[in-house]
Amino acid sequence: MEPTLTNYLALSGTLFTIGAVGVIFKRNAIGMFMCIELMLNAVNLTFVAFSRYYADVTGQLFVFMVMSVAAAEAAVGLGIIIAFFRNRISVDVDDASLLKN
Amino acid sequence: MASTVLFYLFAGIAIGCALSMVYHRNPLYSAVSLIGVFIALSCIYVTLAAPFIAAVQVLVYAGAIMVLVVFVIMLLNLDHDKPVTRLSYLYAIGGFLGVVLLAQTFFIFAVVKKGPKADIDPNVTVGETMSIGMNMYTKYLLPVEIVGILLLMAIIGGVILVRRLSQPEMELVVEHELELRHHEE
Amino acid sequence: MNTILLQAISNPDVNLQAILPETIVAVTGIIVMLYDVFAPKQKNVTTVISLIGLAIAAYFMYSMWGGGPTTSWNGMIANDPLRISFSLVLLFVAAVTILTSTVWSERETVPVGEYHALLLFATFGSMFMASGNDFVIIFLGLETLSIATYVMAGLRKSDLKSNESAMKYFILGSFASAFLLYGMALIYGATGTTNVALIAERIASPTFPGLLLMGGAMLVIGFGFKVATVPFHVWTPDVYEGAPSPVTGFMAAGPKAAAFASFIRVFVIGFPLIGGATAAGYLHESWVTALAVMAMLTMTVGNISAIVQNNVKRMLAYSSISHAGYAMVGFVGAGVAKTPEVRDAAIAAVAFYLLTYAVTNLGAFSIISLVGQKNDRRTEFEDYNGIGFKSPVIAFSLSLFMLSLLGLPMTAGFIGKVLVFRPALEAGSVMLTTMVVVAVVNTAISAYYYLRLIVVMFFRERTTDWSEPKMPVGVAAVLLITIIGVFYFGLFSGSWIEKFVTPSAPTAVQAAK
Repeated sequence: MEPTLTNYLALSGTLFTIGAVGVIFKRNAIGMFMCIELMLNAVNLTFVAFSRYYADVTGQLFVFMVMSVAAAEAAVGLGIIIAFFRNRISVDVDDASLLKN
Repeated sequence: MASTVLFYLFAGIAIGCALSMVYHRNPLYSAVSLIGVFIALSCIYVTLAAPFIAAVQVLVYAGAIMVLVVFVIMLLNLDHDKPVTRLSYLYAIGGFLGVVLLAQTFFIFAVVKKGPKADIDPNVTVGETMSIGMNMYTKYLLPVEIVGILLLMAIIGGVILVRRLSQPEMELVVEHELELRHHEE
Repeated sequence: MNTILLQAISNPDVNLQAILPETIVAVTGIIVMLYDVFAPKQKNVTTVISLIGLAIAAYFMYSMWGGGPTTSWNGMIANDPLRISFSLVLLFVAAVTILTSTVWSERETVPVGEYHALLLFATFGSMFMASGNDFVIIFLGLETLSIATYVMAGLRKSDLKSNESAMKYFILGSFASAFLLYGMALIYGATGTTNVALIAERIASPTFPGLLLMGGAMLVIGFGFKVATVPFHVWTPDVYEGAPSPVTGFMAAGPKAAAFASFIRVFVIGFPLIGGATAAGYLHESWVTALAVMAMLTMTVGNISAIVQNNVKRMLAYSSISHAGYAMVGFVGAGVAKTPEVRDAAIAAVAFYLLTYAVTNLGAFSIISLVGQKNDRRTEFEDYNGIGFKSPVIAFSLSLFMLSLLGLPMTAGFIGKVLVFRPALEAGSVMLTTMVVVAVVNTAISAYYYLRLIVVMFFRERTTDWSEPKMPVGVAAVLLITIIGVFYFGLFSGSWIEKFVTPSAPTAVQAAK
């Protein structure tokens, strides 16, 4: 038997969960960023699976847009991390505690 | 049959690599694990009859984004992540979120299982480069244009953030550093 | 083969007229960027170019009222009062922010040209959030806006607070985007389309009814982060405090309004009221309930946390959270509306509310930028001690803005509040009435911290030196515009509200298509 839509959705949901929990447990900004990329990939899998199910190209084009956005986000996000590092010599988010009362 | 075996193989690799990414404290190991997830997903896209997305997945995610990430990790010479000393309420939040999202996954699984089965025509060609390209420059012309502006803007943003500090900015950083040291003494 | 090609190519439904304002904003951004490359030492030229571009875009946006097709680009762009009213608010916010940022030109080395380009691209994205009738456009607009705002928050590179603000905003913002995207994917799975209008049609008989609920919940989380509602508000105070003050003013007014525009479009128009015990009916009932509860929590938590703040920017951050709650009262009112007329009036009320909030808030932040001095060092309440009679212009205008945020009659804030509370009251359900009561009680609570700032300015002794900051022309213009705006919208709001409800095109045009 062929793998059905449910299999793909279950895989995608599991990866999304791992990514979301990872964002909370990771300590450094780069690790968090990678977990977010994992979440986006999980969503892409959902889109492609539904695109196959409906035989509709919309889902795959959406995935393409998400990939471009992820690339832009990576450029800016890593820039922010480098700017932070230059002043702070650390990417640990717990060191980011100036803004607390 | 073969496709089922392939699916479970690559799904196993994807989940294993994802767990390893979260587990490893060395950011470089995490990055390599994440590349594993991307490649496994790319293989899964092939079984979903989406060859274009599969290729782009490897090119953009594994090829471009992760190279950038690894480059930044090397540039910043990142150490191992510190042992987890975070407040316990974060564990509570993380655990709660994980349980809710897993429950949601099961719910989705159950709902879709009950839903109508698709009779997928093996000759469908929506995922081919031809159909993607055709749609991208006709029906999806506007989104593609917006993506163009988005990428342009990301370049400007990256340049602003990473450009060398000017003299007065440098002085501020030094001033602040002295202030901090003074504080510590 | 050839016939397929021809068919596909004749299909794009290009309508440049419909996206003219957005295009003008983007082109202005590119011009500003190029100008800055070739003449890098300029200080005010790009300000003028950006303002001219925004004015032209606003003119074309304004002229769209009463004409044109209702959707274009294969249904991806909607051309309705929701789009036009929110877009005008967004253009206004961008223009005022550019004027406020002139405080930097005298005392700091911020890359002005790139900053203006980023601000224009952010506005471009936010306008697409208001006009997008398809998840693709909404998502791309949101990301364009967010990525530009992350960079703007970290614009002051040598300031640790600014770096930290940018990093927190980036991590939590992309985290929220992932949830939003998952919601979009599930709705796509449930209905087989990403077009909001088509979703509204197919919602009565979706392929997978259960996925609708899951997708709706994820969308609420994603949009909830973007408009900063409780319990997804935790990032707001830190990010607002650390970002440079003019940018904070922009973040509180612009992205919030844009996120509300697509939030309203997806939920009120995409998930409409459908009778019967179907999944769609259940979805509508549950999102209305969830948002009503969130609105009550948002107002209460925002106001109570604002009371204990000692930093003016943090105080205004919590105040902006509670204002998101007030706006949600009108949003829920639009959600339960039984006729399209009532619904459009409620949507117009939310747009008008966000306009009044933008006017008042941008005015307040222009003064905070002015008083903040270099690198926003003076943003504590103590820094405002006793400046009342030493710098009367600053003190009296800031007091006026505080009173308008509080919602005193005769000011813009009052009319805005009345308008958003009315549709919820008229719906007549117990929950919505409770919500309005909570909102009114909260307005009373908020008097404490708004009036506290006024008291501090006028009745507290000053122990440190006070040198009155030099007011650049741009900031003076902002004060003039916002003060006139506060009174104008407070006294003669009628014509604008009517304008916001006016449909952009007769329905016959759509029927003819």
